[in-house]
Amino acid sequence: MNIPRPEHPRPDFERKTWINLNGEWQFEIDNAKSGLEKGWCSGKDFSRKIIVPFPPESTLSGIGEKDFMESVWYRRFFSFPDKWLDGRILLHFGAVDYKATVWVNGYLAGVHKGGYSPFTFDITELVKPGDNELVVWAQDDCRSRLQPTGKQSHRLKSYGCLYTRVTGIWQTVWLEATPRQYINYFKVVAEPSDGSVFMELEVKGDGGKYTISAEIYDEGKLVADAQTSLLKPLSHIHMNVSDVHLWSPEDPHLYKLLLKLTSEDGSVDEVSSYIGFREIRSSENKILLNNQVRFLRLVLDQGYYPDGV
Amino acid sequence: MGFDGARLHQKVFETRFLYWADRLGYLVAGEFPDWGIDLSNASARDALLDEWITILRRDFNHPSIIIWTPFNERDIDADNYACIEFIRRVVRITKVIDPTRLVIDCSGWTHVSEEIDIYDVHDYEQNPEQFKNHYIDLPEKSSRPLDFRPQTNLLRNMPYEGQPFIVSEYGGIWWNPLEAKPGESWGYGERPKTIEEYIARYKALTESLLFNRSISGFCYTQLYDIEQETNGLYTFDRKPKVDPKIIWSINRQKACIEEGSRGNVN
Repeated sequence: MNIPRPEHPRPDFERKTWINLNGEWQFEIDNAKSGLEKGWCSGKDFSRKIIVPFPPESTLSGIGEKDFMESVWYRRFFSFPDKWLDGRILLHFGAVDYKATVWVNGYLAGVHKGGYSPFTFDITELVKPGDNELVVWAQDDCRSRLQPTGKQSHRLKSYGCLYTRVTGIWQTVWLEATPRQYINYFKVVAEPSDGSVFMELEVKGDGGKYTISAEIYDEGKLVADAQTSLLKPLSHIHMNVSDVHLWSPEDPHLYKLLLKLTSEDGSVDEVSSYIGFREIRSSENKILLNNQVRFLRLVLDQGYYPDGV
Repeated sequence: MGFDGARLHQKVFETRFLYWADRLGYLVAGEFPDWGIDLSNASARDALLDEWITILRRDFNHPSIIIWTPFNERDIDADNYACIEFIRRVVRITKVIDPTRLVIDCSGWTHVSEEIDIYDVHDYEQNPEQFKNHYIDLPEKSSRPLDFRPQTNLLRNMPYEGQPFIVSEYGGIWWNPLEAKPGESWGYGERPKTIEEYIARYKALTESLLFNRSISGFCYTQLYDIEQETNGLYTFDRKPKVDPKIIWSINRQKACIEEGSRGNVN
């Protein structure tokens, strides 16, 4: 079948080696909240089908049930190229509302609280060649007052300015392969006044000494690059782009950013992203974007969709 | 329709939405979906802060995001110091993690942090004259709180210190000429009788913000209808309820704060 939302979920942090796990999963609503006691974390076929990443309240999910669902279970199998076992295998969730407990082949991969934030588990030690079982248990008690729920209704039906709830998986789930040592995260500040680019990078894993290089491209042409070999919990890179082309709503110019981590063991981790040079600040009672006074013409968008919730 | 961006309200949008905002040049005010959390509960506060930090980390690199707002319209008892202190702390932490953006504590009300970079209000007054009068004498600073909520015993906004001032929710004009079951939907104020009356109200409300030299921006409620709330410029299935060119020509007039003279901006 076709995979819904097939595109890479993170164009701002993209590796070439990834597998989208959206599509048909097994699904069960666990109103009695006894699934864990019944051993549903492995080896149990669930009776229904759901199309991930759409929440069960939505029509796109194929379920379309809008009542409270405080406990739901998902299950599917996945496989990956054998050579991925030479490095690390990461399991990513864009978002699961609210508390997610994840098992791979019956082993606990991890627990995450927070219905709007992404999370990642390193499942390298839990997987094997061939078929692997993945089970997700989502608990979502919208009425507890202990979890952020935004505009999700606390009554059975939507009312006033509160609308249909979202339960469980509602963003892309994907697998990613990295070398044993890899770039876990980076922060970048691109300064419009002089074209400085400051980067802070986190490296994870074990591959010995390494070098990180960063390259900035404008329309395919290399305009700045730098590298660092300092082994610290945070690596820093500073670059400079001359004749900087600013980002603004009128001209949203982006530069391509390519990061490469080369480890002593010979492996190379490559991540592609992009940067935009823009500055926002206030001065007295004015808002300045790139040093120009800016009147903000904004509209309220609450991110609700008729077929996807 | 001539908007430069959006308040992404009470939801953390997918990264791909922000990617397209970066690509297309769409300004974003990011907000945490704090509603539903009882701030007088310590474990609820922890859950909120943990998740907000993760979001700030996820979205730090997007040029489109210019504003962070961790809370929206909080009703706070005047003696709820745990709540007040917590909001101040979240603002402080937001600025430490991300010193590159403007921060608002609670959108609309209740402002309690002296570190906010923008002072905003929500105002659903539908009478254009009264709406305009709310802001006609907007002072440079004020010892009294600017607060357009009806009289209440809850904590009021702290005094205005002369920050950029924006009206970050207004309008919400009820307009649903195609409503299937009349009476089940709602919007703010009295429903206009004709599309001309709807446009006239939109124009008058919006111009009173554009043409006030003390105001730095607006956020119109809202882009599209959602379920029973039928005050969008588009229907829930994203069909325009009004000619987009008309809204465009109202929105793109030059604001006083941009120059002082009227005219179109592109």
